[in-house]
Amino acid sequence: MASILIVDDSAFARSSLQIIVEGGGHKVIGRASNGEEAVDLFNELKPELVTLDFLMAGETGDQVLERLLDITPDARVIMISGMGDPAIQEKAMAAGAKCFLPKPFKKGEVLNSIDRVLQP
Amino acid sequence: MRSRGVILEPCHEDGFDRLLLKGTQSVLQSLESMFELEVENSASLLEVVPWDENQAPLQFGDGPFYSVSCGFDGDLAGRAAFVLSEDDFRHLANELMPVLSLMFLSDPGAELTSLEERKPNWMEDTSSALDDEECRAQILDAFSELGNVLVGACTRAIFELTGLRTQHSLPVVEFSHDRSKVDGLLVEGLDSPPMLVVIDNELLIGGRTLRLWSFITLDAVSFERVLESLDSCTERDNFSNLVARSGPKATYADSLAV
Repeated sequence: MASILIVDDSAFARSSLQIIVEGGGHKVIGRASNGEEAVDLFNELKPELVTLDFLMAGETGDQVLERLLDITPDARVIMISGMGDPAIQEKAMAAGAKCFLPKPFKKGEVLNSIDRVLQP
Repeated sequence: MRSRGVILEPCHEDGFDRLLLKGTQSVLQSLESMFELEVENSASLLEVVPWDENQAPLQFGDGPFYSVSCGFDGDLAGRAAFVLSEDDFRHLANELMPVLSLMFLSDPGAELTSLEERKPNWMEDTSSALDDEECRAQILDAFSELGNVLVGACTRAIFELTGLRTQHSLPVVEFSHDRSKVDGLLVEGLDSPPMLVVIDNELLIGGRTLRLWSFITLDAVSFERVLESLDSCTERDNFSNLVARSGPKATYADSLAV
């Protein structure tokens, strides 16, 4: 079981992910709707894994990721995006994401990605 | 597909047919995987027309409507909007209630064992869900996220068909009685009079047919780029054969398997 911080500007997406990851036996310890909240909660809660939406108001996912990696260089972050351009995935991985998930996400894909990213 | 005021080569028509199939498939998959809805596509039509400021506002039925729209840029510049009539939106919202109820109750601090205690009033009477401020916000947020996923699916389909890359902006949801508002959303920020791609999907959800209108505007340069990319399409013969044999229910994935 991992402690997870969910970052997405859509309440629907946050809740969908929470239901999926908790159904997989993980614990959601925080939910953030923008980059600033994400950084604050990351500092405060020290989650084992972060799911991070790419397209948000204000800072984009890759900018937030950079800030998280400044705090914890080996932070485990799964980038999520509904954007159709494969360059977004390349950008996310180049920025240091451990994995990329396209929206709409499926339960099995989410849980498999979490397991994969948590492997030592 | 059909076009008015623009002459398209057969390879372009094939390309737009593929976009229609791929786009429709994405709509169905998104509704099913995001909201656990059983959805059937009863009919779909794609039309390509030049934008004409003098023509009547976009045709998508009478009465108030909900729209979710955004811009996109990159190799292509344009705008996209998805529109549902208020009646259809209310029906969709009603169908979303089981999933949204769970979403609502999974808010921070909610213990899954105490769902009954936290059950809000709108769960008892779903017909008033859109009149409940908190529930309405949930529904509009879900619609916005659906728009985000749908426009992403469209840009992904365009990339897969043409190799052209686009990134979209944050979607915005609106409720309006004024259909010229959608006209404005679709040309906002575009330098040249755009080409308009209209996709009219009839979706059977919960025993009722909903019409989801998808509007995509592309500026003149972008539209030319799409046509040039479709010129070099290598799969069109297989696809044409497939559509001729299987009709509009064929999928792009099917075409690749021919």
